[in-house]
Amino acid sequence: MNEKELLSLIDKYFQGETSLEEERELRRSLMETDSEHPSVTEAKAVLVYVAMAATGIGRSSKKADTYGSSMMGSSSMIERNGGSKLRWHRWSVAAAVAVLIAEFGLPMFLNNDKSLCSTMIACRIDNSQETAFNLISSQLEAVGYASDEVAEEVLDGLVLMSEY
Amino acid sequence: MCRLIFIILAMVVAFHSQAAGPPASLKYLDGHFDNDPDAALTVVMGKPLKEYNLDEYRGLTLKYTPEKAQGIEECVAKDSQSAVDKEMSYRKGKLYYAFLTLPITHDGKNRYLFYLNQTLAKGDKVILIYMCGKASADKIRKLIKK
Repeated sequence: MNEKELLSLIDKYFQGETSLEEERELRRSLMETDSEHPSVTEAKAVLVYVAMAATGIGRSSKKADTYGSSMMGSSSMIERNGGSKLRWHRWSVAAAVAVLIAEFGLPMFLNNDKSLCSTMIACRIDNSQETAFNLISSQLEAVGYASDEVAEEVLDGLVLMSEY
Repeated sequence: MCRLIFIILAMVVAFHSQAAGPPASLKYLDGHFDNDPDAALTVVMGKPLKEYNLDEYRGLTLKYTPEKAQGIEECVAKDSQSAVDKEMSYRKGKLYYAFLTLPITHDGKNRYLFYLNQTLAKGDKVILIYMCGKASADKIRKLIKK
């Protein structure tokens, strides 16, 4: 590859229009070329940075990452990393929304206006509301009576304790 | 963003752990005594209870036998351990009356449980009642004293 072709490929790379095959070709040509053209030097620096970023070396600074990302343009590796991060965020948001819907939305939807009135007396089912409420009132009456009785006992106990 | 998501999930988990599952006594109010001629079970849900601010009422009246009463009493005692408020009265070493306020459901509803063993006073019945809804404990107390 002559210098003109190389410079053209570098331009294409920075415009983010190179394919993976062309990027490989560019890396090979940059390693072999003796050109000292400023664009060639810049391209070499950027590709070294890309290689370092891909292997995790020199990724300690977030700033450098941002700089690298903007410089790298179409670098498929970085796009892949960014893409997976974005996907992870999207999945997290989707999961959180799903949990909230399952937690609060579904019960509200399912419990909406579910009516039932059933009484089983001596193995016989009676679905009339009157029978159900008659049984309910007798149950509540008995429980209410016992509750009063217990409250009185507690009061008597307190009176006895105060007398001592 | 990540932090927000984790905070939301943590809140959901915390809310879940606070809200407990169904009470142990509920099994007696869900067809357990359907074939017992000495049992009367009533289940009411939805509209008929709207004016009482309740969604569910389950009440069991059962003719006393030591075995049946013991089973129910054990479950009520178990439920009392997780209750957020309780009124319990014992006679002759047995549970006579219990009014438990159970932990709220995951959709924020209050749950109450009543137990009465009338044989320890004047009567021969065991009564178990479960109520669930938005009604407060005070409202339930007023309801039983109507």
